Amino acid sequence: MTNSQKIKEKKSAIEQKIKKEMKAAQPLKDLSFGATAFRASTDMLSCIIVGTLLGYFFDCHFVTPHYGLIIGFILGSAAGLLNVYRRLCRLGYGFNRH
Amino acid sequence: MESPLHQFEIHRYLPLNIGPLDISFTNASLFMAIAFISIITLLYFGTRTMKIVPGAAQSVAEVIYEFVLNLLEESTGGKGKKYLPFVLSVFLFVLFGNLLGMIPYGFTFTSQLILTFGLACIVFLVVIGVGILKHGIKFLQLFLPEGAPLVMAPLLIPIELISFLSRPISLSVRLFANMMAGHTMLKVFALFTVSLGIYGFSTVIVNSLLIGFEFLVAFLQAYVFTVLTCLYLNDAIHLHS
Repeated sequence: MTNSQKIKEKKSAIEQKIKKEMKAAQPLKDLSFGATAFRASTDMLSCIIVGTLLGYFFDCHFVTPHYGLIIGFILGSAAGLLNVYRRLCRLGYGFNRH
Repeated sequence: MESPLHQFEIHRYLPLNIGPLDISFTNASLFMAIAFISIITLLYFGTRTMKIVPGAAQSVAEVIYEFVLNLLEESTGGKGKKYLPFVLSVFLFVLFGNLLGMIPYGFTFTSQLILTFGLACIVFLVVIGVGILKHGIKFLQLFLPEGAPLVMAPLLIPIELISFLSRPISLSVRLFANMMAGHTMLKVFALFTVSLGIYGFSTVIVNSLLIGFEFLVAFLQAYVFTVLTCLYLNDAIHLHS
Protein backbone atom coordinates (compact mmCIF):
# COMPACT_ATOMS: atom_id res chain seq x y z
CA MET A 1 0.00 0.00 0.00
CA THR A 2 1.41 3.38 -1.02
CA ASN A 3 1.70 6.34 1.31
CA SER A 4 -1.08 8.28 -0.45
CA GLN A 5 -3.45 5.31 -0.07
CA LYS A 6 -2.61 5.10 3.62
CA ILE A 7 -3.32 8.81 4.05
CA LYS A 8 -6.62 8.48 2.16
CA GLU A 9 -7.69 5.60 4.38
CA LYS A 10 -6.76 7.51 7.50
CA LYS A 11 -8.65 10.56 6.20
CA SER A 12 -11.82 8.58 5.53
CA ALA A 13 -11.58 6.96 8.98
CA ILE A 14 -11.28 10.39 10.62
CA GLU A 15 -14.18 11.74 8.54
CA GLN A 16 -16.36 8.81 9.62
CA LYS A 17 -15.41 9.42 13.25
CA ILE A 18 -16.32 13.13 12.94
CA LYS A 19 -19.67 12.22 11.34
CA LYS A 20 -20.40 9.78 14.18
CA GLU A 21 -19.49 12.36 16.81
CA MET A 22 -21.64 15.01 15.13
CA LYS A 23 -24.56 12.58 14.92
CA ALA A 24 -24.19 11.80 18.62
CA ALA A 25 -24.24 15.50 19.43
CA GLN A 26 -27.31 16.13 17.26
CA PRO A 27 -30.07 15.66 19.90
CA LEU A 28 -28.39 18.19 22.16
CA LYS A 29 -28.54 20.79 19.39
CA ASP A 30 -32.31 20.68 19.57
CA LEU A 31 -32.28 22.21 23.04
CA SER A 32 -33.74 25.69 23.13
CA PHE A 33 -31.53 28.69 23.76
CA GLY A 34 -33.14 29.19 27.18
CA ALA A 35 -32.47 25.60 28.27
CA THR A 36 -28.85 25.81 27.11
CA ALA A 37 -28.36 29.13 28.91
CA PHE A 38 -29.92 27.74 32.10
CA ARG A 39 -27.74 24.65 32.06
CA ALA A 40 -24.61 26.68 31.34
CA SER A 41 -25.43 29.13 34.13
CA THR A 42 -26.00 26.38 36.73
CA ASP A 43 -22.66 24.82 35.70
CA MET A 44 -20.90 28.16 36.05
CA LEU A 45 -22.54 29.04 39.38
CA SER A 46 -21.95 25.65 40.99
CA CYS A 47 -18.25 25.77 40.05
CA ILE A 48 -17.89 29.26 41.58
CA ILE A 49 -19.71 28.11 44.76
CA VAL A 50 -17.53 25.01 45.13
CA GLY A 51 -14.29 26.92 44.40
CA THR A 52 -15.13 29.71 46.86
CA LEU A 53 -16.22 27.25 49.58
CA LEU A 54 -13.04 25.19 49.17
CA GLY A 55 -11.00 28.40 49.43
CA TYR A 56 -12.97 29.46 52.52
CA PHE A 57 -12.39 26.09 54.23
CA PHE A 58 -8.70 26.32 53.33
CA ASP A 59 -8.56 29.75 55.00
CA CYS A 60 -10.38 28.49 58.10
CA HIS A 61 -8.13 25.44 58.40
CA PHE A 62 -4.76 27.10 57.78
CA VAL A 63 -5.76 30.52 59.22
CA THR A 64 -4.67 32.38 56.07
CA PRO A 65 -6.07 35.91 55.56
CA HIS A 66 -8.54 35.30 52.68
CA TYR A 67 -5.93 34.14 50.15
CA GLY A 68 -7.71 30.81 49.84
CA LEU A 69 -11.04 32.53 49.29
CA ILE A 70 -9.67 34.72 46.49
CA ILE A 71 -7.73 31.93 44.79
CA GLY A 72 -10.70 29.57 45.21
CA PHE A 73 -13.03 32.10 43.61
CA ILE A 74 -10.65 32.60 40.66
CA LEU A 75 -10.13 28.85 40.16
CA GLY A 76 -13.90 28.27 40.51
CA SER A 77 -14.60 30.90 37.85
CA ALA A 78 -11.99 29.31 35.57
CA ALA A 79 -13.56 25.86 36.12
CA GLY A 80 -17.02 27.33 35.42
CA LEU A 81 -15.85 28.92 32.17
CA LEU A 82 -14.19 25.67 31.14
CA ASN A 83 -17.44 23.78 31.80
CA VAL A 84 -19.50 26.28 29.82
CA TYR A 85 -16.98 26.14 26.95
CA ARG A 86 -17.08 22.32 26.93
CA ARG A 87 -20.88 22.30 26.96
CA LEU A 88 -21.04 24.76 24.05
CA CYS A 89 -18.45 22.74 22.11
CA ARG A 90 -20.64 19.67 22.60
CA LEU A 91 -23.53 21.64 21.15
CA GLY A 92 -21.47 22.65 18.12
CA TYR A 93 -20.77 26.25 19.12
CA GLY A 94 -17.01 25.78 19.63
CA PHE A 95 -14.25 27.53 17.72
CA ASN A 96 -13.58 26.06 14.29
CA ARG A 97 -9.95 25.01 14.42
CA HIS A 98 -9.68 23.84 10.80
CA MET B 1 -55.34 33.51 49.85
CA GLU B 2 -52.57 30.93 50.11
CA SER B 3 -49.03 31.77 49.12
CA PRO B 4 -47.78 30.08 45.91
CA LEU B 5 -44.91 28.70 48.00
CA HIS B 6 -47.24 27.06 50.51
CA GLN B 7 -47.24 23.87 48.43
CA PHE B 8 -43.54 23.29 49.23
CA GLU B 9 -43.94 23.39 53.01
CA ILE B 10 -43.01 20.26 54.93
CA HIS B 11 -45.63 19.00 57.38
CA ARG B 12 -44.85 16.44 60.08
CA TYR B 13 -47.36 13.58 60.09
CA LEU B 14 -45.54 11.40 62.59
CA PRO B 15 -43.01 13.28 64.78
CA LEU B 16 -40.04 11.05 65.55
CA ASN B 17 -36.63 11.92 67.02
CA ILE B 18 -33.55 9.82 67.67
CA GLY B 19 -31.40 12.03 69.92
CA PRO B 20 -30.80 15.27 68.02
CA LEU B 21 -31.75 13.59 64.73
CA ASP B 22 -35.23 14.41 63.40
CA ILE B 23 -36.52 11.44 61.39
CA SER B 24 -40.21 12.44 61.40
CA PHE B 25 -42.53 10.99 58.80
CA THR B 26 -43.50 14.00 56.68
CA ASN B 27 -45.53 14.71 53.56
CA ALA B 28 -42.28 14.34 51.57
CA SER B 29 -41.73 10.88 53.13
CA LEU B 30 -45.32 9.92 52.33
CA PHE B 31 -44.99 10.86 48.67
CA MET B 32 -41.61 9.16 48.40
CA ALA B 33 -43.26 6.01 49.78
CA ILE B 34 -46.12 6.41 47.28
CA ALA B 35 -43.59 6.81 44.45
CA PHE B 36 -41.74 3.70 45.59
CA ILE B 37 -44.94 1.63 45.85
CA SER B 38 -46.14 2.92 42.45
CA ILE B 39 -42.85 1.94 40.77
CA ILE B 40 -42.86 -1.52 42.35
CA THR B 41 -46.53 -2.03 41.41
CA LEU B 42 -45.98 -0.91 37.81
CA LEU B 43 -42.95 -3.13 37.31
CA TYR B 44 -44.55 -6.09 39.13
CA PHE B 45 -47.72 -6.04 37.00
CA GLY B 46 -45.67 -5.18 33.91
CA THR B 47 -43.39 -8.19 34.22
CA ARG B 48 -45.64 -10.70 36.04
CA THR B 49 -46.93 -12.47 32.93
CA MET B 50 -44.77 -11.67 29.95
CA LYS B 51 -46.71 -11.97 26.68
CA ILE B 52 -45.62 -11.65 23.05
CA VAL B 53 -48.40 -9.12 22.52
CA PRO B 54 -47.97 -6.96 25.62
CA GLY B 55 -50.77 -5.54 27.72
CA ALA B 56 -50.88 -1.94 28.98
CA ALA B 57 -48.65 -2.41 32.05
CA GLN B 58 -46.14 -4.58 30.16
CA SER B 59 -45.95 -1.98 27.36
CA VAL B 60 -45.22 0.85 29.79
CA ALA B 61 -42.61 -1.22 31.65
CA GLU B 62 -40.95 -2.27 28.37
CA VAL B 63 -40.92 1.26 26.95
CA ILE B 64 -39.32 2.66 30.11
CA TYR B 65 -36.78 -0.18 30.27
CA GLU B 66 -35.77 0.15 26.61
CA PHE B 67 -35.63 3.93 26.82
CA VAL B 68 -33.18 3.89 29.74
CA LEU B 69 -31.19 0.99 28.24
CA ASN B 70 -30.76 2.87 24.93
CA LEU B 71 -29.76 6.01 26.81
CA LEU B 72 -27.15 4.09 28.78
CA GLU B 73 -25.79 2.28 25.70
CA GLU B 74 -25.53 5.50 23.70
CA SER B 75 -23.66 7.25 26.50
CA THR B 76 -21.42 4.51 27.86
CA GLY B 77 -21.31 1.83 25.18
CA GLY B 78 -21.63 -1.85 26.05
CA LYS B 79 -19.55 -1.55 29.22
CA GLY B 80 -22.16 0.53 31.01
CA LYS B 81 -24.97 -2.04 30.67
CA LYS B 82 -24.39 -3.57 34.11
CA TYR B 83 -25.26 -0.24 35.77
CA LEU B 84 -28.77 -0.33 34.28
CA PRO B 85 -30.54 -1.21 37.60
CA PHE B 86 -29.03 1.86 39.25
CA VAL B 87 -29.75 4.25 36.37
CA LEU B 88 -33.29 2.86 35.90
CA SER B 89 -34.01 3.30 39.63
CA VAL B 90 -32.79 6.91 39.54
CA PHE B 91 -34.86 7.67 36.42
CA LEU B 92 -38.06 6.13 37.80
CA PHE B 93 -37.69 7.76 41.21
CA VAL B 94 -37.20 11.24 39.73
CA LEU B 95 -39.93 10.73 37.11
CA PHE B 96 -42.51 9.55 39.65
CA GLY B 97 -41.48 12.30 42.06
CA ASN B 98 -42.08 14.90 39.34
CA LEU B 99 -45.34 13.36 38.16
CA LEU B 100 -46.86 12.84 41.63
CA GLY B 101 -46.63 16.60 42.12
CA MET B 102 -48.97 17.08 39.15
CA ILE B 103 -51.84 15.35 40.97
CA PRO B 104 -54.04 17.87 42.81
CA TYR B 105 -53.08 18.03 46.52
CA GLY B 106 -49.94 16.11 45.63
CA PHE B 107 -46.48 17.01 46.84
CA THR B 108 -43.44 17.32 44.56
CA PHE B 109 -40.61 15.94 46.64
CA THR B 110 -38.14 16.72 43.85
CA SER B 111 -38.76 20.42 44.58
CA GLN B 112 -36.83 19.99 47.85
CA LEU B 113 -33.16 20.92 47.40
CA ILE B 114 -31.96 18.60 50.18
CA LEU B 115 -33.56 15.61 48.47
CA THR B 116 -32.21 16.38 44.99
CA PHE B 117 -28.80 17.09 46.53
CA GLY B 118 -28.90 13.75 48.35
CA LEU B 119 -29.83 11.99 45.13
CA ALA B 120 -27.04 13.78 43.22
CA CYS B 121 -24.57 12.84 45.98
CA ILE B 122 -25.56 9.16 45.63
CA VAL B 123 -24.91 9.39 41.87
CA PHE B 124 -21.60 11.16 42.54
CA LEU B 125 -20.45 8.52 45.06
CA VAL B 126 -21.45 5.67 42.75
CA VAL B 127 -19.47 7.28 39.90
CA ILE B 128 -16.39 7.63 42.13
CA GLY B 129 -16.82 4.03 43.34
CA VAL B 130 -17.10 2.70 39.77
CA GLY B 131 -14.08 4.74 38.71
CA ILE B 132 -11.90 3.52 41.57
CA LEU B 133 -13.01 -0.11 41.20
CA LYS B 134 -12.37 -0.04 37.45
CA HIS B 135 -9.12 1.94 37.28
CA GLY B 136 -7.75 2.01 40.82
CA ILE B 137 -5.38 4.90 41.41
CA LYS B 138 -5.41 5.68 37.65
CA PHE B 139 -8.89 7.16 38.19
CA LEU B 140 -7.07 10.31 39.30
CA GLN B 141 -5.99 10.78 35.66
CA LEU B 142 -9.48 12.21 35.20
CA PHE B 143 -8.23 15.41 36.79
CA LEU B 144 -5.53 15.99 34.17
CA PRO B 145 -6.90 16.46 30.62
CA GLU B 146 -5.38 14.09 28.07
CA GLY B 147 -2.38 15.54 26.26
CA ALA B 148 -1.97 18.46 28.66
CA PRO B 149 1.68 19.34 29.40
CA LEU B 150 2.86 18.32 32.88
CA VAL B 151 3.96 21.92 33.61
CA MET B 152 0.30 22.96 33.53
CA ALA B 153 -0.72 20.27 36.06
CA PRO B 154 -0.61 22.54 39.19
CA LEU B 155 -3.13 24.84 37.53
CA LEU B 156 -5.25 22.29 35.66
CA ILE B 157 -5.70 19.77 38.49
CA PRO B 158 -7.43 22.23 40.91
CA ILE B 159 -9.64 23.51 38.07
CA GLU B 160 -10.65 19.98 37.05
CA LEU B 161 -11.14 19.02 40.71
CA ILE B 162 -13.49 21.98 41.28
CA SER B 163 -15.29 21.14 38.05
CA PHE B 164 -15.71 17.53 39.25
CA LEU B 165 -16.90 18.53 42.74
CA SER B 166 -19.44 20.96 41.30
CA ARG B 167 -21.31 18.12 39.54
CA PRO B 168 -23.65 17.18 42.41
CA ILE B 169 -24.49 20.84 42.99
CA SER B 170 -25.34 21.63 39.36
CA LEU B 171 -27.22 18.32 39.01
CA SER B 172 -29.36 18.94 42.10
CA VAL B 173 -29.94 22.67 41.63
CA ARG B 174 -31.11 22.12 38.04
CA LEU B 175 -33.80 19.61 39.01
CA PHE B 176 -34.89 21.51 42.11
CA ALA B 177 -35.06 24.91 40.35
CA ASN B 178 -37.03 23.58 37.39
CA MET B 179 -39.61 21.80 39.52
CA MET B 180 -39.99 24.61 42.02
CA ALA B 181 -40.25 27.34 39.36
CA GLY B 182 -42.76 25.37 37.30
CA HIS B 183 -45.06 24.58 40.22
CA THR B 184 -44.87 28.13 41.57
CA MET B 185 -45.81 29.51 38.15
CA LEU B 186 -48.77 27.10 37.97
CA LYS B 187 -50.00 28.23 41.37
CA VAL B 188 -49.58 31.92 40.54
CA PHE B 189 -51.71 31.57 37.40
CA ALA B 190 -54.28 29.50 39.33
CA LEU B 191 -54.50 32.31 41.88
CA PHE B 192 -55.08 34.80 39.03
CA THR B 193 -58.06 32.70 37.97
CA VAL B 194 -59.52 32.87 41.48
CA SER B 195 -58.90 36.58 41.98
CA LEU B 196 -60.26 37.59 38.54
CA GLY B 197 -63.62 36.00 39.35
CA ILE B 198 -65.89 35.82 36.28
CA TYR B 199 -63.06 37.02 34.00
CA GLY B 200 -60.87 34.19 35.18
CA PHE B 201 -61.63 32.16 32.04
CA SER B 202 -58.77 33.82 30.16
CA THR B 203 -56.23 32.55 32.68
CA VAL B 204 -57.81 29.07 32.68
CA ILE B 205 -56.61 28.69 29.07
CA VAL B 206 -53.09 29.78 30.01
CA ASN B 207 -53.17 27.48 33.03
CA SER B 208 -54.23 24.49 30.92
CA LEU B 209 -51.30 25.13 28.58
CA LEU B 210 -48.96 25.49 31.55
CA ILE B 211 -50.12 22.16 32.99
CA GLY B 212 -49.25 20.48 29.68
CA PHE B 213 -45.90 22.25 29.69
CA GLU B 214 -45.27 21.15 33.29
CA PHE B 215 -45.86 17.51 32.35
CA LEU B 216 -43.25 17.95 29.62
CA VAL B 217 -40.84 19.50 32.14
CA ALA B 218 -41.45 16.58 34.53
CA PHE B 219 -40.38 14.08 31.84
CA LEU B 220 -37.57 16.30 30.53
CA GLN B 221 -35.99 16.82 33.94
CA ALA B 222 -36.04 13.10 34.72
CA TYR B 223 -34.44 12.57 31.30
CA VAL B 224 -31.77 15.25 31.88
CA PHE B 225 -30.92 13.85 35.33
CA THR B 226 -30.55 10.36 33.82
CA VAL B 227 -28.52 11.54 30.82
CA LEU B 228 -26.08 13.34 33.11
CA THR B 229 -25.85 10.27 35.36
CA CYS B 230 -24.98 8.22 32.26
CA LEU B 231 -22.38 10.77 31.12
CA TYR B 232 -20.72 10.82 34.55
CA LEU B 233 -20.70 7.01 34.54
CA ASN B 234 -19.11 7.12 31.08
CA ASP B 235 -16.36 9.40 32.42
CA ALA B 236 -15.69 6.92 35.23
CA ILE B 237 -15.68 3.90 32.89
CA HIS B 238 -13.67 5.31 30.00
CA LEU B 239 -11.73 8.14 31.74
CA HIS B 240 -10.57 10.25 28.76
CA SER B 241 -13.15 9.35 26.11
